[in-house]
Amino acid sequence: MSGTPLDTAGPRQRFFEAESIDHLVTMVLELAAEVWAVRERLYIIEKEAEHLGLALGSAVAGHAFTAQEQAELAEMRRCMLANILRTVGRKHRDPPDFSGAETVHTD
Amino acid sequence: MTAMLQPDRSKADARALLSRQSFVAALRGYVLDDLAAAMRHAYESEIEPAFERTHERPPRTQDEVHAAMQQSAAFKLYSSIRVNAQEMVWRSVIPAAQTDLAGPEHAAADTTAAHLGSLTLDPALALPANVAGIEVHLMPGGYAPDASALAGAIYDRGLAVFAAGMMGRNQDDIGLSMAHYVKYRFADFRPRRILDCGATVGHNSVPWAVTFPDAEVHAIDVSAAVLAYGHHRAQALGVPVHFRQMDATRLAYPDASFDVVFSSMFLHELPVADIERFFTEARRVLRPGGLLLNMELPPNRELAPYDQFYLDWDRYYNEEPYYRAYRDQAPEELVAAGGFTRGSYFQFVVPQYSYMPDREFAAAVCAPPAIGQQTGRLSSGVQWFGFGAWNRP
Repeated sequence: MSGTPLDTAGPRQRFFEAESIDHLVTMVLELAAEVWAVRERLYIIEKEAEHLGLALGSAVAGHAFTAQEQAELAEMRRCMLANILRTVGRKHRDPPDFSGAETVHTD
Repeated sequence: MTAMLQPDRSKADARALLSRQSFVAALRGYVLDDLAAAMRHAYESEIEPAFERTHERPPRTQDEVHAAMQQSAAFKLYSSIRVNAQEMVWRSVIPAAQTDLAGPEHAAADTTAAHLGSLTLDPALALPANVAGIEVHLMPGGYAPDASALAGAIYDRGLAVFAAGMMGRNQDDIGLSMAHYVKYRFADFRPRRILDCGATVGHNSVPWAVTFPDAEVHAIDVSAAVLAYGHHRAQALGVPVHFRQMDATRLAYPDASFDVVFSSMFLHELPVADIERFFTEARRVLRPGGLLLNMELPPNRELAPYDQFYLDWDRYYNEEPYYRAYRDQAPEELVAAGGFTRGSYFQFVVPQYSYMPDREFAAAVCAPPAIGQQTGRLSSGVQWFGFGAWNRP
């Protein structure tokens, strides 16, 4: 069986003036996915520790979410996304313009 | 959902992959609901007024909207995050699909489950230009790389993540909604043979067999990979579907051999000339009184310029080269070009069958909603658009 590539063959779409920002968006989202995986695993460990004692490895691997747990995780995911993407919709000030600086503060 | 459709949890780091999938699905949901709303707000509150100040009129076309939006932070962030989410869909499912389908349990499944439906492949069938070499939906390698079921498994699992919980329990809501529309809107119509064209893994073919259990359901696609997987998928769900590798523009079925020819999210993958060829073939294989039914995105002419721009985003950023050309067409003209009489054309909007009581859906199809902002736009509360024609002289 041939391996399936993880990436498409062509160039990616750029959306920002500086290509580095496109990279940064990817980095942030990939980081978020990694953090989420850790958070979800911790959540499972905590739940399993409550119910099953120290046999955590196999318990985590076989854990099936209850409807209530799924609802809790869904809310946690939503909050996490809201935090990571918290600046979307906010304005940014332009950088200060020093080209015609009228005042020089020396103190 | 069947075990076949799930990653094997016994494999190393399968839990982490499942966590990643649930994250990406949530990210998709956030993009399609919250970020889409933020982008629309930015358009209505700033971008459109700025355009009007400059041009002394609102934007008239989606291209004018698109050009204005491209300069905005709202568009750049929405689009960048949505493209990343799309890439992450595939990255979250490919490793487990490759591992699972390489295992002996899958080889066993290939040989033991042959009692429901059938699978007929045509190795001589050449992939049409609209499929070959196109990584549609940014799916690495495309959905028809070879005849193994791997690409089908990736497609199915990717679709489950992509859907973000908005397309039914087995990503079958479109099929369920369309089949139940026919069941309740045309209560005297009893189809015995149903053909689903461009069916991929058959996720919307299975619902027809479920809704009309006395009917024989056939599903065709040009990709052997999705059909091979779809055959096992349908068997795992306990539903008989006959999968066959075939080009919808050159159907190998005899004249007047089906009561329904159906497609879902298929036409926008075709060049316009091929849509007309497909409809010509559909009319040929339909029995007199048979039904052509297509679930699709709503036509651009029925939408405001912003909504046209929003839906056609996929044309420019999600590897959907035929998307907009299709949406710029008038569906009744395409149907007429296929030989259906103009008076037999109809179109409709339906809510999602999976998320409402059966009785409410039955009432809804008799008083269908009009095309609106939620029509065809995958998000919470999406409504599906469909159109069709009866095969009448």
